[in-house]
Formats: sequence, C-alpha cells, structure tokens
Amino acid sequence: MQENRRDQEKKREFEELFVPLLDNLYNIALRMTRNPRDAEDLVQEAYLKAYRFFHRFERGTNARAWILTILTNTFRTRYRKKKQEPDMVDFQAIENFCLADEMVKVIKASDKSEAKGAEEVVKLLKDYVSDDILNALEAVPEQFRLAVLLSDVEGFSYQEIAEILNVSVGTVKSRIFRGRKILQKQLWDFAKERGIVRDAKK
Amino acid sequence: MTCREAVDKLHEYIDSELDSATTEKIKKHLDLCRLCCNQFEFEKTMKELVHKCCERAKAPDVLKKKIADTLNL
Repeated sequence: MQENRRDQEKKREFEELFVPLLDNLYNIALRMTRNPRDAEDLVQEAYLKAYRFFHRFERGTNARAWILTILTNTFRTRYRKKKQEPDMVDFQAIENFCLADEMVKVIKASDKSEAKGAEEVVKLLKDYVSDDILNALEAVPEQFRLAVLLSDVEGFSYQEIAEILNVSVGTVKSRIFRGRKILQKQLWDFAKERGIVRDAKK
Repeated sequence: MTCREAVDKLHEYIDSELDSATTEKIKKHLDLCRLCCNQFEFEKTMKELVHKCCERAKAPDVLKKKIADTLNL
C-alpha cells in the first residue's frame, strides 16, 4: 500500500515536470535526428530513461537541462552512426565568412545609394523562409549543430551547455561560433544556387 | 573599445554571457558605430530566426500516447 502511494507520487511528480516539455524535446530531437520517425523514437527513449533514473534527478535543479542531457546522450550513442552526417567542414575556408557583409555587398550592387544599414540587411535575412534555415541547420555537422541549438533554441548559458555536452566552456564557445558560421555560409549558398543573389565578388 | 574588440565579443554579447561592465562598453560602442551595430543586429536576428523555426513542430499525439502508456501515467 505504502509502495503504491509512493509510486503514484513519483508518477505525478514526473508528469508535472516533464510532460509539459514534450513539444520542446520533440523539436530538438527533430533537429538532431533530422527525421520525424527517429525523433519520436529518440524522445520516447529519453522519457523512459528519465523515468527510470528519476531518483537521480536533484529536486529544485533545472528539469529541462536534465532531460535534455539524457536526450543528447541517447542521441549520441544511438543515432549518430545511423545516418550519414554532413562531412566535416573545412573551417579555415569560412572562418572569415560573414553573411551580413555578403548581403551588404548585394544591396550596394543593386542600389547605388549608400547601404541603408541594419534594416535592409535584416530584411534580406528575413526573406529566408523557415525551411531554408532548417535545411541549412541540417548541413551543420552534429557537434556544432547541438551547441547552436542548445544556445539559440533552448537559451542555455555556455556553462549549462558545457555540462550537457560534457565539454569545456571554451569548446562550447568555439562550437557555437563555428556552427553559426557554417549555418550562414550554407544559407548564402542556397541563395546563390537559386539565383536569389549573384556572387557579389565576381 | 575598438570595433575589433567589440566584434570579438559579438557572440558572447548576443548570448548574454558577458559581465555588466563589458556589456555596457559594447552598448556604448554600438551607439557610436553603425557598422558594428548592423552586424550585431544581424547576428541577433539570425539567432532569433533559428529559435523561431525550431519551435514550430508539435509532438504527434501518438507519441504523447506512447509515452503515457509506457510510463503508465
């Protein structure tokens, strides 16, 4: 009887903490696995593990960070080898790439007057539809993609991301920096492929 | 603060990783420097766009049900 009540209590607490995070986790899982079926499996497995190890969760600490750590580790051990990841990027080639600068060049080329500044460039940036951004994200190698997602989507601090990924804060910083560069280069390549912009350097 | 110093901290700035003194210094620089201001604005927008497009999906009902069933919630 006692057992039963404790069990019920555990379930209720787990439900309160983690069920509201389901959409959030599913979105991240989608971006990790890049396909809905794997994302579903991944989320389900993460919830099962979280429940199994719920006694290790320290009450009062960040529940979202805790279950995301489980999700990330599950992804890394189980799914990373299943799907072909994008090739490692030659980072030196894009270290100095700056999407904002490229866009400014385009604006200047099409409009002889002085570039009008942030609004113009930001407007060009917003012309990308969500699908472009999602596709560009898929082209970012996993280790960089995860760092960017945990920062941009989850809003975690570098310290929190370091703990989730089990790397140093310095590594997080460099992965976020590189991940964003790769993402922007990819967006730029999309724009060029579709002839939305011409390569301003030519 | 020079442009170089500001841009070096761009990502930490938009990720709110800097102490308040450094944040203030950058804000002051951005008030004065249109080029840097544009670049910071751009990166901030990029971050917001990534956020926005990664919260659109809803977990399928079947997944909700599967989890509830396996955990017997």
